[in-house]
Amino acid sequence: MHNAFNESLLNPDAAIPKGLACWNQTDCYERFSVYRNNVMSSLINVLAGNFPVIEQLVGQRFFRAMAKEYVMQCPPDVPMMVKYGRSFAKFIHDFPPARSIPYLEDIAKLEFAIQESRHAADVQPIQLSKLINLIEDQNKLNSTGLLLAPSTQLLNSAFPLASIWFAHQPQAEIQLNTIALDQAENVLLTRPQLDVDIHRIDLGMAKFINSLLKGLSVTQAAELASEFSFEPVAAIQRLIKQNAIVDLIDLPFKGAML
Amino acid sequence: MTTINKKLTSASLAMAFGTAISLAALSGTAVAAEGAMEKCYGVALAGQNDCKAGPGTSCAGSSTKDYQGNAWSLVPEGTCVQVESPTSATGFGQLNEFTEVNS
Amino acid sequence: MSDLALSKACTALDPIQHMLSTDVGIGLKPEHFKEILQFLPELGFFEIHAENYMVDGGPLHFYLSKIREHYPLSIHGVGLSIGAQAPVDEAHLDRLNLLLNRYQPELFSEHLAWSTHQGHYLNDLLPVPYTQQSLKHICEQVDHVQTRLGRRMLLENPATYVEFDNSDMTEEVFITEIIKTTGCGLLIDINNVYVSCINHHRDPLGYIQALPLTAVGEIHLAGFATDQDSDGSPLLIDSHDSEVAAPVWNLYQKALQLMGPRPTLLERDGNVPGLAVLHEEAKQAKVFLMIQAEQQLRSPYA
Repeated sequence: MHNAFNESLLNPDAAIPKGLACWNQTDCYERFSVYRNNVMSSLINVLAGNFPVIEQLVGQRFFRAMAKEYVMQCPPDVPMMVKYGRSFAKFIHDFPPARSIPYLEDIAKLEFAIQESRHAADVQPIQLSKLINLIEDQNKLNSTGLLLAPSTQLLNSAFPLASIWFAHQPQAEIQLNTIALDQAENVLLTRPQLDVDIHRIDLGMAKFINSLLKGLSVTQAAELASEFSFEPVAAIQRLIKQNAIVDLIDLPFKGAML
Repeated sequence: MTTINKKLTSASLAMAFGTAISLAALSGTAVAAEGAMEKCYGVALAGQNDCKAGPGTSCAGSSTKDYQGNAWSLVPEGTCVQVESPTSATGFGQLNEFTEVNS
Repeated sequence: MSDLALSKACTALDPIQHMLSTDVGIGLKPEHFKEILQFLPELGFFEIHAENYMVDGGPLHFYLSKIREHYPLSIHGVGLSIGAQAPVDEAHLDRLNLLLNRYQPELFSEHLAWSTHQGHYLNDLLPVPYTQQSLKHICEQVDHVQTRLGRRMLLENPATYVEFDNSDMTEEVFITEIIKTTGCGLLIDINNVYVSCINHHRDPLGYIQALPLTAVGEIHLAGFATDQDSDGSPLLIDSHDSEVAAPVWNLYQKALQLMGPRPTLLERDGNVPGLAVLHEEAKQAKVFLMIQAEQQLRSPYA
């Protein structure tokens, strides 16, 4: 019974399960369709809730049809619907009818990352006194990494993904038709308190944060970042103000730089 | 704020840290001074798990209506059609803060 | 509340009063968080869907914790899939346990239904055949859930659209047997009773009378939608997207006469209106509960 339900529910074209009964001896088709519709349309609605910008970009009709294909191929594997759609970006990448929109995959990644950032664990930001202690001995920067809040996420894209995302928000101040599609963007997500903040950052800062996330020392991260245009004061200030630094990480000494 | 290229020293990095810390301390709490463009504003926070029947079931004959479209024969027709249009050089509106993005 | 485990949970929380049998609650929706905290509306409790709060942190936990300081809480699971073929997912039980320990709700409930199969989560409450075999299996599942969570659970009667050829007992008998065997409580969803009984051509009041009503720990009320089957017979759908319908209010009053007042929840999951509208509907339920409570005071041996 469970097998037959599972197959019929996820495939609208399949026959309905055997062994169903109705008081008026009808074929039960309409009745079973209620379950089928509940499953398909509720999961499509979940995706529409988790990927609202994707839905706006492709239009509701296309979105629902595309989401249906995704639900059939990749039904959720956990009951928490806020976590459904991790592989939606990859699916979009591989979905020929969506190929005309090359940036769609990255927008899907961004929307899922926003969701993850929003629900990431709560942490206390580092006390400034701890950071002040850190800089009293310059060498310490060589052997110390920064533990960033779990809500911190970094995305880079060959497309202006944050600009496109911003343009779809209710009080958007960006017109879609003014966005240069060939502008790459690096996007940082933070959650200083309850709301997720979305930052477009330069390549240097992106490299810096990416290196910190990888567990490199502050010195190493800055060194790698300074291969690009990098403003260390702005980058560090941004992280502090966004409550994104949680703690210091003691690393094995790697030797002083330069 | 100086941009430091390829000549970052431990001393200057420590100094940058010091400046950043004092600037952050001066400006008080975290969210205070960020530009509005960076805020994730108005994003609805909805619970996604319900125990209701899905919409589309509520009117007669609609029980398969909601997912009938065939994506293989459809074309995206949402706001993406606006993105494709040519770009004006000055078109980024309030985004000037980020024009260094592609340095 | 007669249950020992629940009483213990209540005494652990000093600022929160026990839930009363005449309390009316509404489903907690994120769009109402701020308004609730600002105005603290006179409501008996809030109910959440457990799975929405199975996240590490962020605004959902922030607001729920704040609201929990002012109101009793009911945690209602929608994803445990007690009626599935496979044993209940231990990882999901762990998540539930974490949530229950964190918020210490006065009530905890789940559904007589299934939603997972071979690693898929289907996001709907699917029906179970009522056979001796499935009865034994579900009793074991409920037993395991209660043991693992260290508390009594309330089991909710489902809204169903089909029945099974191989069922050899009625839903009422099936539920009664589970309650007898496992000692779990009953969450009686009056809208589900009405929807299922219309869909399967049965008498809703007779259904209610056949249940062990002393086990009822909570009542659900909701709105339904009307459709038709292939034969043109009415097919009601448990849509939770409108106000409670007149026949369901009617059935609710009759049920209260049979079992006395019980904490009652208004469920609204679609087309969610403003808080004031839901509050008004809650007041209607409160009136019926108070009338019943008063009648019981007058004739305690009735």
